[in-house]
Order: sequence, then structure tokens, then C-alpha cells
Amino acid sequence: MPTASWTVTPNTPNHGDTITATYTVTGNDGTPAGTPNPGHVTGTVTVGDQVYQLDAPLTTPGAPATPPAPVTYATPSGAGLTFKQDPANPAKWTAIVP
Amino acid sequence: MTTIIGSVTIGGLAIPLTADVTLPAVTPPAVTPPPVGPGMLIGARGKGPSSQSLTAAFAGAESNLGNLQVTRVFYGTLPAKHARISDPGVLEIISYKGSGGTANLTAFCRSLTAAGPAWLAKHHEPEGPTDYADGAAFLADWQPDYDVAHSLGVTFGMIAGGYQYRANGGNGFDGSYLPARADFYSIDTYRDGSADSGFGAIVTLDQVAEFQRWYTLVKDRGAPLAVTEYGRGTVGNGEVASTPQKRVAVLGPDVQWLRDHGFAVFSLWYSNYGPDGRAWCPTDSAWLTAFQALTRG
Repeated sequence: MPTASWTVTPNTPNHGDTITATYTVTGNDGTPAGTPNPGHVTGTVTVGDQVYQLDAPLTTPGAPATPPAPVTYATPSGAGLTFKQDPANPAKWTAIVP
Repeated sequence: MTTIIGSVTIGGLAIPLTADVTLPAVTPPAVTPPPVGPGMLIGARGKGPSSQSLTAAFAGAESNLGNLQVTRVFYGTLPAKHARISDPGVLEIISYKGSGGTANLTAFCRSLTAAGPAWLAKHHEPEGPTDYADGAAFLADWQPDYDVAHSLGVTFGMIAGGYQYRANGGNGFDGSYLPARADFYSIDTYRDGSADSGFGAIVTLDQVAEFQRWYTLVKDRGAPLAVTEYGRGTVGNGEVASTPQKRVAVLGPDVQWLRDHGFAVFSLWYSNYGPDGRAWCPTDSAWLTAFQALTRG
């Protein structure tokens, strides 16, 4: 089960300081592909009245992998602060203390 | 205590988050208008090579010139927070080109509260031909910033480029770049000493036509007046022979004229590394002695 947290620093800024809010998501790893399933393919061939049993091993893939769930980060808000998203890190938001 | 609210949505599931911060109190900046008349502040802008910090440049100027009461600071776009370059108590007159937006300007103005005495001016010497289309364009840019800064208690003014107040085509001559109301009016005045007559000549301020034209335009507007950059002679770079003596001769009378006319600030441009590549930094002992006499008051 994914979880989310964040840090907001500094918590006692001065005018002109930059407040940085950084989200962290953990456990959003998706699921790996399942274990392959070994098995056989069988068949018969009849030649005249002779029946031949045939067998070939076959391993089918396991359950497909599930990718991490999509994550979106809401714009932080409060106290007249205007947060802007870091273009290089969508989990990071900054606001100048007016 | 203020609560910041955010949330993360993971695969359609929204997870709300909160954080508490303590924002600073909003208090008027500690900007104290300087005395006028006999108490006129004397200072300088020191500037060395680009490798030298502005703080070191100020200290260097002060070691040569005596205790300075005012200096100049320049920004392209304002940072959110002002970093002083001078001693505590020194009035820093700050110029900038871009505010970075109203929120940034507000943050900057409020950051002055703890920083110390400061004045602010947008786009000093705006009359240059490549700066604004005309005075109306400048005032349309200047006024909104004045409104923000002034409302926050910051002393916000206009700094004119002296050479643009010449009668023969200076953009400022008609006064169109001067706001009707400002917290101070200032001028940057230079004479390069490249001639014995005309605009290259060093003469006392009462004879500097472009300065007097500007003074006539602003003297009755009810705000403090200042000289934010004063340069006389380019120190061995294109000067005529008489310039060093004239530079010394006019300094005292010019400062006295400013005092007599109620000016609040006189700030020397004291730089070896001007943008025009010329030095405005006298080093001869006669001139240094004359300036030190001013800073000793």
C-alpha cells in the first residue's frame, strides 16, 4: 500500500525566505511479473492403426507486472503563499515569503 | 501558526497532508529618512574588479575616503531578500531593473525591515535612448512598483541621468520622466574632464546646466533630493591637464551648494571599473584629503 508524506522547511521563515515543500511517496512500486508456469503440450499422431503420444515442454509466462500507480502532487496552499513547482522535480514546490 | 495544505494522489487515491509554519510578522521596514541640510549624508559607491565582493569594495572605498554614510547597490532583477554590502546604519540606495513580480517585490521590501536603512529606485537613469520609448512608458513601469513599495513603508524614488537634462536634445529635459510624486528625487551627475569648456568641462554645480535643469524640475515637489552618483574626471583617461586641479576645486563648493539647497544625500561614484571602461576614482592626495574632510564632517 503506497504512502505519502512531505517536508515543509523552514518552519519559521523570514520575509524573503523561500519555503520548500517536498513530497515523498513510498511503496508505490507496482507488482513484478509472476513466476513462469512450466507445462507441457501434448498431441498424438496415428500412423495406420498405431497411435503415437507426443509431448513437448512449454513454459508460459507468469502474471504480467503492474507498473507503479500514477502520482500527482497538488499545489500546496496557505497563508497567501504562492507555490511554484520545480520543473526538474514535480514533487518539489517553493514559495517566497512575502 | 499557519497551516500549509497539500495532497498527493496515487492511482486515484488522494492523500491529504498538512504542515504548520510560523510566518514572520508584517512590520513596516525600518527605513528612516536621512537628515537634510547640514546633516546631509556623505558616501560613495566603491567598485573593484569583478572578483572582488561588493562588501570588500565598500570597505576599500571607506578605507580611502573615511566613514561613509551612504552607498549604492544595484540589481538586475530583485532577489527576494536584500543582502547588505555596507556597515550597519549606512543608507543603501538600491537600484533595480526588474521587480520579479509583485510578490517578489513585496518580499524584498519586507526583507529590508531587518536589513537596515535603505531607499529603493526602479531603473535609475531611465532616460537613455534604449531604455524606454518615452517618459510615459517609464512612468507606467515605475508607478506600480512605487505603489507597492510605498504602501509597505519603503522610501521609493526616481534617479535621473544627469546628461539627459541637457538643452540640446536630452530625453529628460522636458521633465517627462519625473513622477509627480516620489519619496525622493535623485540625479547621477558626471563631467568627464575631457575639455575646458562645454559638457566635458568640470565646473561647479551651480554652473552645470543639466544639473540645474533637473533641480529646477524637482525642487518644489516636496521630497528629499539626492545626488546618487557624482563623478568628476576620468583620472588620466582622456582628461585635459586642468582636470585634477578642477576636480579638487569644485568638490567642496559642490557639497556646500547641495547642503545649502537642502539635499539629503551626496554619494560619490568611486570606481576603477566603470561600465564605460573608464576609472572615476581619484587617487591623488589633494583630492583624497578634500574628500576625507567631508566625511569627517
